[in-house]
Amino acid sequence: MDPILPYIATAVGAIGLLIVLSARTAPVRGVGGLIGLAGLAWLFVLAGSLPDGIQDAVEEGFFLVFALMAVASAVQMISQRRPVYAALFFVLVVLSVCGVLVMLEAFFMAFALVIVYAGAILITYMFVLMLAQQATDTEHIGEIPQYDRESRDPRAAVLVAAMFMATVVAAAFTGLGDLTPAGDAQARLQADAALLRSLPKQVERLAAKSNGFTLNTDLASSLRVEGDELVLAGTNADGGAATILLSSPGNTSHVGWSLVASFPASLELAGVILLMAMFGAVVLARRQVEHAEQELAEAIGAGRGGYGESQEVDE
Amino acid sequence: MSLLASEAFSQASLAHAILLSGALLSIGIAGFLSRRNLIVMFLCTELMFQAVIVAMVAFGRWYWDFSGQVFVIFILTVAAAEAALALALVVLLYRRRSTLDAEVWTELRE
Repeated sequence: MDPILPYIATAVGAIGLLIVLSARTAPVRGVGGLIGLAGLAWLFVLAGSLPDGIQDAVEEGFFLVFALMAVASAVQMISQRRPVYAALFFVLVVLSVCGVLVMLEAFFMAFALVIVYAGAILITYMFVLMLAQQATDTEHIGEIPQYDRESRDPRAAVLVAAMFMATVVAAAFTGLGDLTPAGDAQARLQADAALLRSLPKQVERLAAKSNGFTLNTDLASSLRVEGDELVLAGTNADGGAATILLSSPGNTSHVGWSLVASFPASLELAGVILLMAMFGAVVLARRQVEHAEQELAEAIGAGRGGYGESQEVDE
Repeated sequence: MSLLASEAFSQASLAHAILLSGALLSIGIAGFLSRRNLIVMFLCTELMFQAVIVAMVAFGRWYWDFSGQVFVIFILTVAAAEAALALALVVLLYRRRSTLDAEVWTELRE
């Protein structure tokens, strides 16, 4: 492979993005979008020829479909003239990224992303959009404001983006050979075993499922990796030595244990950040009411006369 | 037992994930620089968060290390905090000038 090819593909993608951002009519934008996606697809094909190639064609195919869907929706998102559509296309980006995460075996994060991003954060955006889009004058209902119709200097923006993308492409095509080798099936089993050793209660529950099986007291030595199986040694009902096979504890257990065992202080800090953000949002968005004091005084004055009698007292 | 029992994660797969991440982040940058609507600009930062999430999870998958996914949880936290603060600011700015145009606030740079 010629080392210049990935950069040409990047340039093709950038030209497509530029056409999408600066075109005024929908057909031209469609053509630009196709050019951009073709550039990206070319990059993916070029990356497929990297050392040890593609292992699982079906999985890689799903990955590519989700990836192209994510990028296409992202382009739609930044080129849509109506901000509500932009937010809806962002939901599509999040869903596609969740598909990619499933392909990368990050199941918990995929679902968390759907709930937190597509569910909570996007709804907040929609609320603010609807709040701000309320037409104050009835003449311009449904009209797209000028600041949404015209981009601000798309050429400079696309140039910056293309420079960044070229850096990423350089890293992806030349830098990955320097990484330490990937965690293979064995590394994965060792990680499973290490996790189960830290969770003795869970191992006890798993062992209790098989009748008559008693755990050895020393969990660290009785839980081991043999070949490509997780093996737990113990004793049978009749006192003889026995082993059972354990299944992998799964993605959620791994993430949860990693979170509380390796990053407890960060977890507390994250809570503080959320609390501060809540305070900040309340302080920022609170509406200053000029005559609040006067109303308060009236309310107190009305209350002095007793409930229900205030009208007559005032008159 | 994983749902998709693929043991191998090749350099090509990692490169694909990184290219997707780079593409999403580039589009986010382009959108942030070229759009003038304040809310869409903040949406573009969320798009960049998505790109970072993909990169984190892909490298975590490469090393079979779950710190990458834990970082994604923290990214979610920061994104939620950022969304709350940014949208509060947008509401405040909209109340002042009755427009979402970022160009209205250019005098702030002087």
